[in-house]
Amino acid sequence: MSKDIRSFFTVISKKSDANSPKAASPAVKKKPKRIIDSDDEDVISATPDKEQKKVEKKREVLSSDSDEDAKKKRKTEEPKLKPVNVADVFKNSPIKQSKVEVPQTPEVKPTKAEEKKPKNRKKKHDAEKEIHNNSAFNKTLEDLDDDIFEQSIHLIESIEEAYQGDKEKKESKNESDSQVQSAKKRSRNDSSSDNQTPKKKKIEHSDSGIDPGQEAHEKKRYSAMLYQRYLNRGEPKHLGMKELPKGKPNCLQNLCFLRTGVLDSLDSEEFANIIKQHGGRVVHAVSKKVNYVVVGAEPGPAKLAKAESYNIPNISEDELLDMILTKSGMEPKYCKKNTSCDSEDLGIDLNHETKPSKEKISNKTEPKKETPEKKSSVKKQNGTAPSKIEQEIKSETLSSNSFYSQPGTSKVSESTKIENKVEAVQLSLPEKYKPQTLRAVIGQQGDSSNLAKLKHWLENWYKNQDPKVKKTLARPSPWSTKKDDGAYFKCALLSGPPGVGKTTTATLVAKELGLDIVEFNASDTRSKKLLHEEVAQLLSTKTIAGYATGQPNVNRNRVLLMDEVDGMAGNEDRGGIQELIQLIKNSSVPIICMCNDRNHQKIRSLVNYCFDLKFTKPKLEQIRGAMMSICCKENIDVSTQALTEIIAGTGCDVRQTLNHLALLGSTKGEITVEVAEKESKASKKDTVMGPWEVCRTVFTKSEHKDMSVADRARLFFFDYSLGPLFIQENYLRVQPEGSKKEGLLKAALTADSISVGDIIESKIRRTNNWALLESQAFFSSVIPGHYMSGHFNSQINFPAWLGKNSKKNKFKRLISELQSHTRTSASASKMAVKLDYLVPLRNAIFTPLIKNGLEGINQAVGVMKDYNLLREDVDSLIELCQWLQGENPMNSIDSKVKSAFTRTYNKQVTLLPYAPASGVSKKKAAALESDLLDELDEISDNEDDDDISKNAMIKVKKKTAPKGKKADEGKGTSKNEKKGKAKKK
Amino acid sequence: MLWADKYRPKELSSLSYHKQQALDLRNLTKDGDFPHLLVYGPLGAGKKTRIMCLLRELYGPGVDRLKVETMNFTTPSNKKLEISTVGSNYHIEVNPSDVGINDRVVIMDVIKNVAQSQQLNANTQREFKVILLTDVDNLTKDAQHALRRTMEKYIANCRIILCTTSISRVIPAIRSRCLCIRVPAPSIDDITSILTNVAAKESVSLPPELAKRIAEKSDRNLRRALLMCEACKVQKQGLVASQSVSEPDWQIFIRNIASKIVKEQSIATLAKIRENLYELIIFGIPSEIIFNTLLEEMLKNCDLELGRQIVEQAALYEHRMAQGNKEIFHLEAFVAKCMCLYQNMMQELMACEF
Repeated sequence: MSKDIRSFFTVISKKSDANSPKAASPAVKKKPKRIIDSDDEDVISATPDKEQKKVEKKREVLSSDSDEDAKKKRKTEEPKLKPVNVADVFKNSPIKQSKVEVPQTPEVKPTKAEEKKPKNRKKKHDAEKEIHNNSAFNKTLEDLDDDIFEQSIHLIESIEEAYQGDKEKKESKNESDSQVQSAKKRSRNDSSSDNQTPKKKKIEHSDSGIDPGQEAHEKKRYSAMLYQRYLNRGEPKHLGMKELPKGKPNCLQNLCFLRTGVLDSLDSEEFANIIKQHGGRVVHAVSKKVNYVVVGAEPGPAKLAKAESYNIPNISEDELLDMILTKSGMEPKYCKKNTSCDSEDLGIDLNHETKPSKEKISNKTEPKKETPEKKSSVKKQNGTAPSKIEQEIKSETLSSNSFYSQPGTSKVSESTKIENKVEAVQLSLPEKYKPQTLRAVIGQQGDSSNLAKLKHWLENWYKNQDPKVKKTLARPSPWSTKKDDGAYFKCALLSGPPGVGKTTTATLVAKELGLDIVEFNASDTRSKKLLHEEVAQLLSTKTIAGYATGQPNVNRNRVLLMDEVDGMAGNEDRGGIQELIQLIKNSSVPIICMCNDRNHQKIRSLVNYCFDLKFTKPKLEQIRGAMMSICCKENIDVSTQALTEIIAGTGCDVRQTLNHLALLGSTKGEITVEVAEKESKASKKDTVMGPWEVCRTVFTKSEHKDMSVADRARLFFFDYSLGPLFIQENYLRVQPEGSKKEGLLKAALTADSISVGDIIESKIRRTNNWALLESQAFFSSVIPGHYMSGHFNSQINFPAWLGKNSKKNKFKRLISELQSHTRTSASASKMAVKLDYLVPLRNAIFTPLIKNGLEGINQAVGVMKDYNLLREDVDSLIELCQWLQGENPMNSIDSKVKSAFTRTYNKQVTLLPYAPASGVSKKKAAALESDLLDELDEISDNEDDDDISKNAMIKVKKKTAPKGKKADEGKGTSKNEKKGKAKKK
Repeated sequence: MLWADKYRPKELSSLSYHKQQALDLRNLTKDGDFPHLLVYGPLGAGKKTRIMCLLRELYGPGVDRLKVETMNFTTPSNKKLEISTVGSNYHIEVNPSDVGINDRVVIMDVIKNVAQSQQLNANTQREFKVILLTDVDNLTKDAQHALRRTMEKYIANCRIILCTTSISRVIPAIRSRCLCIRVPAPSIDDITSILTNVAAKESVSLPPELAKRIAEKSDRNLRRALLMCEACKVQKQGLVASQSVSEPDWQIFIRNIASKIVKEQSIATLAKIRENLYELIIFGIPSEIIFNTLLEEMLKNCDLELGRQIVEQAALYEHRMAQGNKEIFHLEAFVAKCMCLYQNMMQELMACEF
């Protein structure tokens, strides 16, 4: 950069005037620039008048040339660097400073003008446009001179220029070293602006003229020095000392900022935050899209240079803060405080303010409203300037704006009115903006939407339910992918999360089709009895209106709305669902049921009888659109970002979003992103993590590295019964960080911790000491997560422990059965049976079968008899023995032998010392008994028999069963005795 | 019928080892009465055989007419449970730990009922019944405390015989109320002679070397020795001195686990071993036995220092296992720790060599 600067100086010394005419012609095109440039001149005032005049003349000549000449190609390049040069040249201030603040500021306007205009008009014919602009600008200037400004108002550009002109004047006055008359200045404006552009050109040329080798060397040295400086540069001088402004959230909308150097009080994060808060954008590389470069101490020269090349205005931190203030309608205060801030800064500020106004004007959206405000703010800012100037400005602004000042003020008053209204917003937004037409239901547009389906179903209901038609309709299979219009069903079930518009949809559809709604919701008792009586009655009654009009079938226009079906629960609504199903079966009117959880146990039976319509949450964008319009109607000032936050926070629940908006809208006039974020965070429903997720988070380093210990412990509590199992199951699948050698050690430590966790758990369960749960969280979850923190090698498995445990219990049961059967002949305890008996016993039964085939059967059955084994016991014996060898002895036996074996066993009247197959027979007996009891109940219900007889009957039944059992047992024992005797013998 | 059951002695006098003890028991019942007994000893030492002999001595052959009954009861939380009992007219055998943590209810309800009911005809029978409780070491503390008072209160009507493998888990209060009889495992010589006798009765020639080998392999468990012997016979159609004695499969399985630990110490092996341990647990091998066997097998491959460390760890984790719920957690932790120790030792050895 320094080089550049030097070069600038050389340029100045060499070719300040000489080259100017050449370049002048192309530069003329942009009116705003010119104006600004003229500003600079005014400000500086060091330049002799003579020179200016000279240039003027030349310019005039050249400008005419330029219009005709096709030299326009250069234009794009020429604007680059110009402002800097100018400033440097004219101002003798220190280089850096000049770069940072003063010189670049004039760019503000040029870039804006440049960018905006071409954009608006499409960049195709840049050159032409610029020429046009030129002429237009010249015109307007003349207009200004002649005080016929009002007449040319219809040209929006001219308005802008007018502002700029005003500002320039102000600045110049602020300078107050030369109180020149406004008219004169204007005339000079032209000349000066033209003056500068040529200079820039010259500079460029000079740059290129430098010896390349020397340049490279210089560059190198310089960049090294720069880098050193960059490394040594400190923190913001007044970090956190300034009170940051709180402007309107959108005041920097569509603006893009770039920071370079160390700002006075903001570090990079704060800087980004403050801009984002106000709707702006922060980038880190210079591009054409950047609107401002915020320059701090020791800025990066490359960035500055590039920014200059794009004609991006440089501003200081204070200016930025003031910009925020002024744009949100407050008084700027930062620059004033800064005594070092010279008048130029103010001017720059003003420029910034005007920019948005310019934009708006060019957009023609609401130019009138905006402009007056700007004006006023402009005036305010100039409060420091001498009163004379102020007056002048006022008169000027007024005169120039007289055309539209009136409507503008009226608008302002309107807006204030609106703001007053905002405070009186009613809290019942959801009610107020309940969709009134089918179209207004969010997320239910389109033919395949639930709303359309419901409407179609309801329209065709009577047609479909006609007995003749009904026969032709088949019940759709629940797995068919075909589109189903629900013609078969008498009832529709709308299911979906709260706040997606189920009830609204249903009521609207019914209204649209002209049906009367009979609604039952959770506030009504809906027990079996009540449903049966009331609803049936309601549905069968006819409205008097029907008789009056003589319509025979009055039932027709009715629909039964069963809202919140899943709320049919508890003692109050007992049997409600069953009755509802009955009702649906026999209904002569369409029924619409609504519920939140379609998979609920209670609803499942109902689903079979319903046309199933699942409502999903509308998309965030859909909601946002509707909310924006409501906010607009209600004058709730909320940014898109904030609204997005709120909607996301409610989980796309329209009703809740509205409630939030109502609350926020009533408390404050506007909703900032911050507030919205806070609010949405507070309202955010706690998402429950599944055990899989928990397990992944516990072990995956990338996911838990930012979590505090307490957060990690909290993971455990998502499911403290399943979580530890998941962790135990999966910790060996984790690839822990660090060397492989340590992996085993870590695994051992983890296993140790898990084992402690198990002890704690058993303590908790045994003594109900749930306070220990937190300790368990650490041993079962946090510590394993700490040791084995890494990443998963394979997918997370469901804990095998559960399955294994139930299997273990099954085998335990088998063994205990076996043990109790063999108990009379073998004295072995369960453990002994398990450890020693199983295999020999199995072999004793099956070896004869395998070896001898059919002849071995008797021997095998003999063993079974000896040990009082049942046929089922043999199977369980096989299962119990099969765990290792994996071979089933049954497989090696001929199927003939097998069946013969079974037959022989069945033929033998085995005398068992126990009630055979107690489990099964008991269940059967119990079932039988209960059946009998039920029958009896029914009989008694139907016939209202005497209590005594009923009781007697039951007693009889009950008695018989035990008797039979006893008899069996008696038999068993007697036979046993016989057996014992036989044995003795 | 298997030999183990076929040649079970029925009389105290026909017992073939610990004869002095048999004599003592006989004397104990001479006057037709005896105190509560607490019989303890390792598996396959002949505890139950001795108890049945004792009862037979007391009541005559009627005690052999066993029948299995199920008794129903409801827990305080209205859970209906049933427990199967084995008994004759004179005694009843219950394993309260069958119903897990509800064993206290069994003690309180079932046993108290039996104990409370008096014999109608005291002439033909003894004036007391015998309640035989097995697996007392698995009783919860609550159940054991519930047993204390019952034992004292109904001593007129019933005698309680407790049968357990380890006395350490029986509370001292119960121990002091009982006459403790320890039935030690038979010596290898005892087992050899019994095996020879049985073989002679079955008219199978049993080479003495094989008998000795079986006795040694059987871990001084007479039942196991007999079963193994029979298995040998089936295997080779007769007994040969040189034939191999097949061990219980679970023992082999655990040995494999131990060798895996020694062979490769890695997380992957640990995962495999977990599966194996699950297998063992599922098939109902008691985790204490898994622990013991595993430790024994491990120690075969260890030097003294490492062995000391491993034993220390084993003690720690077995203790934890007794306190905790899920055996696999502790077994796994033990295996992991063993692997670590083993790996360390190997690394040290390597370091020494270089």
